[in-house]
Amino acid sequence: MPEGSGRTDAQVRADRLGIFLDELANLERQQVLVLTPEQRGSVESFAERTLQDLTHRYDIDVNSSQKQLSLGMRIISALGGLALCAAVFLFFYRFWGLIPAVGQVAILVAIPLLGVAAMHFTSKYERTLYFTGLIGLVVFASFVLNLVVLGQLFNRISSPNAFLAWGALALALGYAYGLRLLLAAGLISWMAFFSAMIVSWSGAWWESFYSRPECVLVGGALIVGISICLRHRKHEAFPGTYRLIGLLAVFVSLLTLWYAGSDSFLPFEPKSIERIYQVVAFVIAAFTIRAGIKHTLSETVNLGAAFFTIFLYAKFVDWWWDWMPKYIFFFVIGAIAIGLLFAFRKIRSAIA
Amino acid sequence: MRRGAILAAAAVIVITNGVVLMEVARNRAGGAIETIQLTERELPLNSRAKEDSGVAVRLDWERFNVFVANGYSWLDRTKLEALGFDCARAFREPKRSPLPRPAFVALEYAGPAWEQWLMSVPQTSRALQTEMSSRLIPVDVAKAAAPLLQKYPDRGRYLIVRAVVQLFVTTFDPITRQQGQARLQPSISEALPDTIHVPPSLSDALGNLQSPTNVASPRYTLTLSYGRHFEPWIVGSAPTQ
Repeated sequence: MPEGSGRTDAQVRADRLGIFLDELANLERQQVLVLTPEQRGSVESFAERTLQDLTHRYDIDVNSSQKQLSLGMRIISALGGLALCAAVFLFFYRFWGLIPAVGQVAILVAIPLLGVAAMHFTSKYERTLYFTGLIGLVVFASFVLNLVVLGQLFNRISSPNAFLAWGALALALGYAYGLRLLLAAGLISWMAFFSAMIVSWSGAWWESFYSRPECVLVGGALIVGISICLRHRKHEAFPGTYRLIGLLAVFVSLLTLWYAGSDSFLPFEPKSIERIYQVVAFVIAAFTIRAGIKHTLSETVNLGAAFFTIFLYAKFVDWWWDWMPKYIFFFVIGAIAIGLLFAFRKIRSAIA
Repeated sequence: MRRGAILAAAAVIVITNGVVLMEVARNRAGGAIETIQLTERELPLNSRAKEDSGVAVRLDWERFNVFVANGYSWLDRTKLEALGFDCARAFREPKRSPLPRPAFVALEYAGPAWEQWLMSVPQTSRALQTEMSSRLIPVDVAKAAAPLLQKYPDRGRYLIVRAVVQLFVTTFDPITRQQGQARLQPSISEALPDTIHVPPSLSDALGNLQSPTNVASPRYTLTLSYGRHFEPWIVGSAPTQ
């Protein structure tokens, strides 16, 4: 199993082995533990064999240089994928006016299908899936192009169902190969579909869903809920992507409603709605930090803390920006930041 | 597991395209329910990027500029409420605009409504304002198409299209140009679809024309048909003699 938990477990094991060897060398230097030459040879040969085996089977990173290079390759893969997506879009638009309708449809359907076949092919020959991920992005973009252009060709009235189809493709490919970028694309597509459907059910035109941030908020909350309910044994990193997309949607929606109560479905005065969502924003950010600490989810803690700080500063701006001299305002903000650092230090000691 | 997911991905692509093409066929099955001949005034070229080789036009109608004080006077509270707008709430909470709603709109082509609009344009700017402006004027709106098709049976004069209706509450009085009583300000913000693709086989009449900048008269005529889903397609094109 070259991807998913197999590769992750192999990387964790290799990291543990590296730390063990470093610590062993340290203990020997300090004369705390002295191994006989036979024992040392046996440990070193075991470590070397294990690392070679893991590298051969899972193509893992065995030192920090390799890790940095892998990160760079992931970034290049994402950027390359995006650039190729743009190329596919522009290439098609450059020539589509010269091709008859049947040819246009055939090309539009064939590109994503060939892309799926190419993903299947490349995944057999690489264990790190950089090229597969890159092709996956192109497949997703070409399917978006497929439906957009098909709609233009036949003058179809836009529909939120396109988001359903895009999401289904992205999630199928994301789960097939353990690709988080495609998972994120799928979740965002389905969130847009869900939000548009809520607005559509209310009788309004579906494209106005972004004018009611509560639709996105509910969609984001559902995604976070799914990450809690759905167990990912094979793709251990996936719940983190679910939480990131879901919480970002929730926090950005809350921040929008913080200032635009008139965009809410709630039947109250806009100012009252803004106050309600300001309280809700603080409570959810604090709860996110608490849940993140409890379940040792560092990204969740960081995201919660970042938005808690943004909400806090937004409130300070609301209260003080207009009447307080600016130098005092920034001094107070700085002082509060120092106070928060002390508070977090105490919490950190208490947790330890 | 992986093989199943890949097959599912391929199935999503094939099934989605199949559904779209089937819907296109259903829209055009049984022939057009409306066919009308319009000129460049009503179907101007859609501006396109330098490297876009496709040709598209957009359905343009008179949007009632500052010269018309009450262009949508026929779109009254009863009609708006029939579309689903809560007008009482709109008056109660004027800062909270209702969400736009989909509707069917009857557009009158070069008829009495257009002549009336022409008269409302000041004499001094009439030539400038009217020589290339669209002669399609919205005259009615409904939640469904059937009542409009029945009410406006002249298919050469009236075009029924899907559209998006917006509603605001304003206190600005366009006649006195001052603040006055709160009133409903509806508008048709978008026709659906807003652009219409011209297939390569019919784009000869449009040739290498650019978007109109200083054009004095329409350069082409297009025949436009609408199917049962009110999705249009172009069936004929000719350069204007």
